[in-house]
Amino acid sequence: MYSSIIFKEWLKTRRVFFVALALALLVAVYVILSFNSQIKAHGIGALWIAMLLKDVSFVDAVTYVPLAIGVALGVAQMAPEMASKRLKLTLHLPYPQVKLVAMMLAAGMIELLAIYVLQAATILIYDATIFHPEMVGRVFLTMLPWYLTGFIGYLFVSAICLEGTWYMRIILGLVGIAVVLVMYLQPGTMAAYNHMIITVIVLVLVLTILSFGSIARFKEGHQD
Amino acid sequence: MKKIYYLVLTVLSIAVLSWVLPWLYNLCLPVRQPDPFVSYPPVNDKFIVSMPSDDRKGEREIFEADPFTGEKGSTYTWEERDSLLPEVFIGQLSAKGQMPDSIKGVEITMQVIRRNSWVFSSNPRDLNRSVPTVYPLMESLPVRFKFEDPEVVMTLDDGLKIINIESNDIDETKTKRFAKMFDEKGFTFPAKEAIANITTRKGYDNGYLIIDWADNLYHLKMQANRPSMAKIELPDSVIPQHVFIMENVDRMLYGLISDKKNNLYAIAHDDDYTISKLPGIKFDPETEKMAIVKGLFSWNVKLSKDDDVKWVALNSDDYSVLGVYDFHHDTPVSRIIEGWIFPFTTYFTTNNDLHVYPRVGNFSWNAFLLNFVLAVLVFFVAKGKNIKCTIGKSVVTLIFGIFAFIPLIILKRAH
Repeated sequence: MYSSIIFKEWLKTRRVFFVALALALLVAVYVILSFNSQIKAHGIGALWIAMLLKDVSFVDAVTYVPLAIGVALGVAQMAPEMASKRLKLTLHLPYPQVKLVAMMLAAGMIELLAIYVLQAATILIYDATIFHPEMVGRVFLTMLPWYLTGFIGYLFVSAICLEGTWYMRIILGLVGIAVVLVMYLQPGTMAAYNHMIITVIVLVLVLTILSFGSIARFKEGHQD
Repeated sequence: MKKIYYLVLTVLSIAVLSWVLPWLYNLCLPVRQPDPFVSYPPVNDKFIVSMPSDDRKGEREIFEADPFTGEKGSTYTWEERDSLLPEVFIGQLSAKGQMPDSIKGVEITMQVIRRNSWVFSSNPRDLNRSVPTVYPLMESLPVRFKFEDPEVVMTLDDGLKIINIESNDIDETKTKRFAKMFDEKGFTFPAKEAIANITTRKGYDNGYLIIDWADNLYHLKMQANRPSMAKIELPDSVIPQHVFIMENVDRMLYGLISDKKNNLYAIAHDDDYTISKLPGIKFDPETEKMAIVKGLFSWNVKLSKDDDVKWVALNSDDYSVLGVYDFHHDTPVSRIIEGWIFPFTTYFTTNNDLHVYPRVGNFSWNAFLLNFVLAVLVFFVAKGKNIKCTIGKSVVTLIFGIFAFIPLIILKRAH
């Protein structure tokens, strides 16, 4: 049953996964190429100075990509469950409901993690060849909140898709938008979120509860 | 699971609303509170205060103020004010041919004023931010007498390392040379703060002012690829907290130091690094803004924190206090009303730093009245089968006010 559920989730998300992976890697390559052109135009020294003194991270192109991927994957994975009330069939599988939902979310989040790790690793490995390790660390800490926002977007979209009423979907959507907005308050500043990285990681874990709640409400008959 | 779901959603909604609602309120009712322009003229020993007009276009009230009591004196027109502040309004006076030949027996020309004037500013945002501990090192004596971008950086963590930017490798020769100098001067690693002005657009380079782990202050320059380092002897009572490097046209100072008691000191640009306390100034760089306008005869130091602004005029020669002028912005009506609506505010950013993290402030007891009314409403509107739960919701509303009232009412319908 375990592998069947994983396979079911993979079937739903594989197209979006590969498109998202390609997009993430294309953006990473774009960051590297634009970086190379900056080195040719201004010299490596100017880039070090820009990063050290002017808070230029050279990874701005990545900013909204993790969020877009998280939302797309959430829709691709959870929207089919609500189409024609297929979720009812899923919930009738001979498998504990909590474990079932946990498996679904885990499958989606592992796919997201794989995409994010590959993108971040591509950029950071390149950066490590030309920058001091502390500067590479600062680039990572600049991108980390964006990747966590991708998980937040995924979890809110999952909860919205699994919710049976539009009234609650709108509430979840509004709260989700506000939480996502918080994650983009200082987009031009490097490592601005250092003080709340742990808080955001805890928040991501807590937000998984929303999907469980949506399914519990669905089972109780809260449907339009 | 459903109970936890509603609990999480309610807590999240309260947190989000305590940020969004005050933000929307301030977006709809913005407050503009420009500071007056205050300067200490060399020709009369009183502050000249230009109050801002309410609508930007209106007439400004310009008056003189007693340098110690702040008492309002004669009023002036714009033209009269310009002639009282020749160093500030040099352009206007020169265009009209009204520049004085001399002030206090000193010949005044455009060159004299430019050579003796500079502006310095410090903003808490410059300090309260995540900064790398990789420091670019400029050559202070460039071969072709033109500054170039640094070719090396130094790190001052558990020891000194000089890294070549081009190759991203440690420059062993320079590292040994600099490390020896740091060792000789008794530097204690790691550095607490190292400040320089890294730019090629300047007349000369003063290098770095560095505070080491033992609160000693050092001055470091790289001259002809070799270190030039001096330990700056501070008075025993001075424990430096922040340093500010200066490369002013008059070459009078290496920089400023603020200590842990919020005193401010000037480091003279001489061989002994003479330290002079700037009297009448209490300055915490982490919470206050400071702007210094230095003229031929005086320093005009402006210190701003929240709604309070203070100007201190110092004598340029001996730093004696010439006058102090205080100004307090009145609390606008919209802020007073805000205090009656919101019991507190959550905010993630402030004007004083570049960090993002949740902070709670602006607590207001005045909002308790509205909280009470909303709590009673919740008791009757959100009344359920479980009386304990209903009382709990009312208590939550009593504490969190409108931020709890909205989600509790909205989520009640979702049940």
